[in-house]
Amino acid sequence: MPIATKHTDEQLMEQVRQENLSALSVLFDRYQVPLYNFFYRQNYDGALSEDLVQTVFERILKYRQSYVSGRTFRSWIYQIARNAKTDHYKSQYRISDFVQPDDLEIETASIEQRMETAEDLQQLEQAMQQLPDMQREILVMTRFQKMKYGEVAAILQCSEGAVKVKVHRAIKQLRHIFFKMEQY
Amino acid sequence: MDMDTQNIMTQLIDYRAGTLPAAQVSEVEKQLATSEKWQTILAELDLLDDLMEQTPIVQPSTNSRQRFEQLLAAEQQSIPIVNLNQSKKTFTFSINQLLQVAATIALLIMGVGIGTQFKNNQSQQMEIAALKSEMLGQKKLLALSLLQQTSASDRIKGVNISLKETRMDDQILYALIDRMNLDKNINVQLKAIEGLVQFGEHKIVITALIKALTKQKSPEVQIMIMEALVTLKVKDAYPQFQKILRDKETIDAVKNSAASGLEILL
Repeated sequence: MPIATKHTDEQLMEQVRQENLSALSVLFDRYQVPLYNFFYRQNYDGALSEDLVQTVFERILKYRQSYVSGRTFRSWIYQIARNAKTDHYKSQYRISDFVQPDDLEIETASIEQRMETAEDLQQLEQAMQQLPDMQREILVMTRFQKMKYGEVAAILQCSEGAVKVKVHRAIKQLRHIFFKMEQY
Repeated sequence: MDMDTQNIMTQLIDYRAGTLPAAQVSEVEKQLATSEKWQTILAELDLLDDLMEQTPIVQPSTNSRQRFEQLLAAEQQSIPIVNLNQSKKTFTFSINQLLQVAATIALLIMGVGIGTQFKNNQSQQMEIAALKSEMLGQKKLLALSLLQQTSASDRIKGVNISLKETRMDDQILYALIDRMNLDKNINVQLKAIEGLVQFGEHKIVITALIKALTKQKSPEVQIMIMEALVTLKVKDAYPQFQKILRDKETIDAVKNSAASGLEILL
């Protein structure tokens, strides 16, 4: 049966639940890159991030029958992603070592500007690395993945107000670390 | 970071996001026009946001897609093709037919008895094995048939025979899952769940129990399913337990069971 790509995430997942597993390919196309970046911006490890993306889709297949019809798929998949990440670190006991991203492409006008921005981006990554896990995660979701506070609240199972407070704290802490690094 | 800076940042983050109350906007803009500290903090926040905005999207390798395709193909191959409606139709017998089956079983047992008198003969032993196999097949038919009877006690007998006197296979498992999901008699449902726990190593059983937990509304059945999932240590049932805890319509007894189950699963 051909899978119409215009279907919503929820309709596709419902098809997966009814054992039309091909529908998961469309969801993989939609979520592979966002999920990869969700992991990568937290661990800066390409191979590990790919493994975690695979783990997410393995779990979706394994627990497809537990998907509740009509539930927002994006919240569900990010909850699975968070659990996969937590389980990984539980088994590793520590966050993986810092690894430089290998394919950064920065589009700026001059070489000087480009170098400066690249340095700033590197500094931002290092500052992100120094944030507590929860603060890094909430910035990845709200700033890098551009999720709305309501959506993050559904994933973290807390109120929008609580998300706002966490974001404020994370930004304050990031600013503190980032500009402290500039002094050295 | 001093309190003053903290407060300035709180207001500026909201100001930049456009979520600052209107009454405070003019005050913030006044500060920005006159205070160097406010201007510096705003510039710093702008820089951080610009950098986060410019952070490139990183692409996974092509290997990632290949791995997913392999995963999907393996899962597609593992899906059993079972038509429950057909199986129900096939195994609906009348009571007379059931008696015939029972009589056949009795004859087979006699045959087995006679056969045992000639244990030393290898060919006779093979015959006994064949008879036993035939007997199990007949009992399976009997169990499947009883599971479809209108009398609840017959259906419970069907569950018992399924568990004790047949070789477990997908057909029996699906029949028990059917009883758990669809039976109108709660005792039959509970008996089916009790039986399914014995076959927790089968993926279809775990999947069916988790799915049933989200659909069943009877507190007794919900509690029994949760106990089954805890006994089988199905950590993946965690979200369903949480959902039950959050559900305002769920009664306290079920919530208590979910809470204690979660503690064990954790």
